[in-house]
Amino acid sequence: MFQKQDAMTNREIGSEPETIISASVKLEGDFVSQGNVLIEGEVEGSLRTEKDLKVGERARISADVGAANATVAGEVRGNIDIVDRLELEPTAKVFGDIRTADLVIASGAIICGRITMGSEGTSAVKSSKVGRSTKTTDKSEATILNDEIDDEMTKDETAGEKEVNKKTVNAFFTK
Amino acid sequence: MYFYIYDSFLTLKKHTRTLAEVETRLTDLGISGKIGRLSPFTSAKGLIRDEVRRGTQTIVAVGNDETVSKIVEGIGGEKITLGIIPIGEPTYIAESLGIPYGEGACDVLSKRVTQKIDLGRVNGRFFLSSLRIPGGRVTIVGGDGKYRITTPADDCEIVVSNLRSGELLGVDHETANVPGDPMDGLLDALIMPRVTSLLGRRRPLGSSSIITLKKLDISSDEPIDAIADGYHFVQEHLEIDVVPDCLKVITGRERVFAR
Repeated sequence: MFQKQDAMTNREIGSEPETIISASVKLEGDFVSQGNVLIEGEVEGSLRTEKDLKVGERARISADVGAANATVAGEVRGNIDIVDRLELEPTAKVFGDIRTADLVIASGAIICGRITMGSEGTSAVKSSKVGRSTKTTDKSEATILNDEIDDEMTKDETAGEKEVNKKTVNAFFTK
Repeated sequence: MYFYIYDSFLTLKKHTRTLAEVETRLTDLGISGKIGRLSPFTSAKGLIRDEVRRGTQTIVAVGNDETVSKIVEGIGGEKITLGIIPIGEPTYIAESLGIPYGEGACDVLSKRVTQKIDLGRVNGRFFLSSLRIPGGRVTIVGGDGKYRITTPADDCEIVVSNLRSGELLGVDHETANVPGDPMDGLLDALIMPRVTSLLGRRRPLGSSSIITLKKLDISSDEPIDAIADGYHFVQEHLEIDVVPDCLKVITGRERVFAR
């Protein structure tokens, strides 16, 4: 559908975006797409795509978000539901729960909410709390989180669930 | 049988030679046919309606983009094949369809490679290439009313594109792409922020947005000045949708889609 595209943007999102909401535009309501979506502006309501989503650094989303894969560099206030892989860039701020199969969090990203993950994560594994306001600035901080999660997990969750949630923590060490 | 519709401006002396070359080439290829001429008193719709009754199946627009626009509007939903012989300016639509200027278009016509393409429709009027709203603050409602897009406080140019054309390729984009596949059953809405300089020149401001949709409504507090394939009109509210596989059109090898 598209002829030319900014090379960087293409590479980052995986393939050509079909919908672009630029910095100066505000979208309100329930937006559903079947193609790749790039958000640089404001979104309020809900945002779902069957393919990939990229949230730019200047983007502000106050919506529940759903996509196959996502890269977040901006601010998301709402729950994020990703089928495959979620990447949080250093500038990312997420205020809401995350549910994803695979998670990559860069140092500097802020998450305030629960994370549910692993391949079982998408099939309603009981979620674990990963701090109410967490900033993964370095390796040691992520290690503290690891201990906190382990303490909570031992209370009332099964061994299988524990295994899944350890994957969450391992994701902190990727960058 | 071919029916050729000449636009009124072709009577100008500067087009006489090109027109003569076209007519000679059509005769050589054995595809010459009846000629109808547009004038202030003869509409394309009337000419086409009469010819359809007589069994004509191919209408050829001879002229520029505005000529094509008039004829597409005249054809509407009729099962007619459209050919184009571009003469005059601008001829972006013919370029996008891979049709060369003047005499060269006759060879494309004779090869008769056809594609079934979508048409856009704004307030009941068909357009082939694009609908442009040069400026003003508007609200776009899409997804059957499920979401709305508000444009920035600054002036904004909006283009709803069905067929990618040189008109759009000339637009300066930062992040947005140049859309327009007329066979995907979708329209592409481009929202391009603009700023007017002290000298009155309008230039792009920041990156553009692109939204792909089947139907959208555009409204504004003020009457909207719009241009559909070169045809100017003013309306308070625009209802735009796509009519899939609506028009059979003769295309050349250099077309920008379905290569």
